[in-house]
Amino acid sequence: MIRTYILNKNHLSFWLRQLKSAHELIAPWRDASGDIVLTELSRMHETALDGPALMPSPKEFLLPQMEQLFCYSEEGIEEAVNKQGRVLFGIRPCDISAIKILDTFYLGKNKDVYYETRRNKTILVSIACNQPDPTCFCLGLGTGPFLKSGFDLQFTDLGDRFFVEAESENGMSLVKDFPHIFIEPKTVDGEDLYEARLASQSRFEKRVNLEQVRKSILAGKVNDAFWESVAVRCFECGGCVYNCPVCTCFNVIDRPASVDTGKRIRLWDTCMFKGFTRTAGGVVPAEAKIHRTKRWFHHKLLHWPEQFGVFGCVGCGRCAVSCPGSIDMATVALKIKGSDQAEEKNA
Amino acid sequence: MDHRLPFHEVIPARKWQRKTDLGSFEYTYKAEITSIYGLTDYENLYRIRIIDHDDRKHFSFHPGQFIMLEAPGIGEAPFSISSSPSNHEDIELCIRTAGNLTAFLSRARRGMHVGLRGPFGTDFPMERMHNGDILLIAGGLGLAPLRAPIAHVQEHRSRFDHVDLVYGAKDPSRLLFKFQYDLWKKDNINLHIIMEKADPSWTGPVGLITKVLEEIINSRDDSFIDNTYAIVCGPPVMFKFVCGALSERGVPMQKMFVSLERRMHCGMGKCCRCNVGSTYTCLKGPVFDYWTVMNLKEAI
Repeated sequence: MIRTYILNKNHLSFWLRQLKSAHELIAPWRDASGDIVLTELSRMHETALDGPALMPSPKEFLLPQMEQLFCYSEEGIEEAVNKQGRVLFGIRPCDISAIKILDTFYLGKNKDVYYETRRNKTILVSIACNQPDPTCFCLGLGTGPFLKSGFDLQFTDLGDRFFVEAESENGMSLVKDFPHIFIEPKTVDGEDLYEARLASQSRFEKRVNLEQVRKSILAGKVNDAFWESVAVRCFECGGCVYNCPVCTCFNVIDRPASVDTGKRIRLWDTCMFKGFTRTAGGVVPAEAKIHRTKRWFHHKLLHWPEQFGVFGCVGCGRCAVSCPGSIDMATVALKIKGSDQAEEKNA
Repeated sequence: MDHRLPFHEVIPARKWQRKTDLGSFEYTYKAEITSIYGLTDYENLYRIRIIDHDDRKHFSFHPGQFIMLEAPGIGEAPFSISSSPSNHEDIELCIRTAGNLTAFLSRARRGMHVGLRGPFGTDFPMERMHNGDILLIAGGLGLAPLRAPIAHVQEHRSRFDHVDLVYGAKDPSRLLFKFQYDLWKKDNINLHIIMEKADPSWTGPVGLITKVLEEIINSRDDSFIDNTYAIVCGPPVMFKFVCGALSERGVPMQKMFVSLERRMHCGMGKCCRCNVGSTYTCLKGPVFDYWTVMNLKEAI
């Protein structure tokens, strides 16, 4: 059941300060160079909630770029896990959707304990998007700009106040101690909320229907010549994978500190690199660039739906921001759709 | 039976090697290299024994499965097991020096400790092949995973009819498991070895593996089609030609089994390296029947 509240913006800093006393509070913050990044917040009034999609994505806090799995020494092996509870404040609805997808992947069959431990201690507080970026296309995927379920707490900016929705027990635990600032919403608040959502939906510049794209790929309408034209534009920088909130590939390496001590770490990897699939026999299954780019798009558009029933894409548009070759998900999807429609016209 | 049973479900909690509160993740066995035997200049045969007696008793695998072997500080990599499943004392691994970990292992000494996870993956369905002919085809290092099914055949020789082993290698200096050839022949396994490049010491046939295979196929009558199961292991190019030749003769694709090689880092379908389409080689493989492989795009 979703409970609703109103929080006056003046009370936000106070509430965040209260949260910080019991949790590790992660929130968007504008750094010296003007970029908005997710970081542990120290001065509450500095939280920046009006920026574009956060780079890097919040997956960093569930699946760190580099995480120590365990360290070993002569005495044995000891594992490192995060023990303190954590609140991710100010992330976007698309990020929450991405975390839900990560949950199905990591907490399904063969649980990943490192992820699970971290996830169980994380409370997700999202801010609905009133101003979607030009790169966003979550509307067509149902992963944003606001969510109907799946969050712990969802805030919607209504000018001078936030409309707060609490869905889970975890979310309730953050607001139930502050009945004096989380007040009952009035009818006018509901109307404002409706208007804000409607306005947000109308602001989307990109309309992408991935289901249509999936169907044309399955129907064999996308040939290798098309993927070749995508692949030649790929710089093999891996930016799309590292910034994607859904991409999960990792590498495991050992970092010895001395002869018999050291640690094993897990770090992000990307399927865009050639060495990613190199085998001992010297054969690289995905050697050509076309195979690697195709593999990435196919994984998100075909294999995720096949395995989990959802696309491996939430439409956050981070790949569009990071890709120097303009071959991000939306552009490629629109191209596939465009060439498909052109074909139908000719026929 | 679920062969992927995690360690903690078979071993009581007090036996865990690691100080941890992440119990369910823990199933690394502590093991020891008991002997190293040089097979060629590049490949060694390692005999590995799980140190704890109880763990050793519980560890069992099926032909075709693989394990993850780790050397702390160096890394972890998947290796197919090339010893008999009925040998509960030692596990034998035939390892070629190719990367970081294998280079380290090639310099290792007896008594060194390693970690062992597994077994992972699917196996060759040996029971299904009982009362049939078996055609084992190995190219190069492909003989390593085939040694486990061969051992099964040797132990249950009366349950199989014709058993042929076709083995292709680059040149005579790269032949693996030379000491086994006479034993295999003694167990009535027809051994056909072919070299890609011969040197003066070699008296056998020279050419590609399909040459020998065609001779075998042509020498048999039509009962060959109904009775034969094929197990194929080698470089990906070989699958196409070998399985193609067999299916041309009429052997059903479901009766050919291949073992795919992919890079792996976790063995539990998480690191996304070994997937062919949406199929994870570490979970649904490495052993596939040829029909499945043909339906996986870009598998071979």
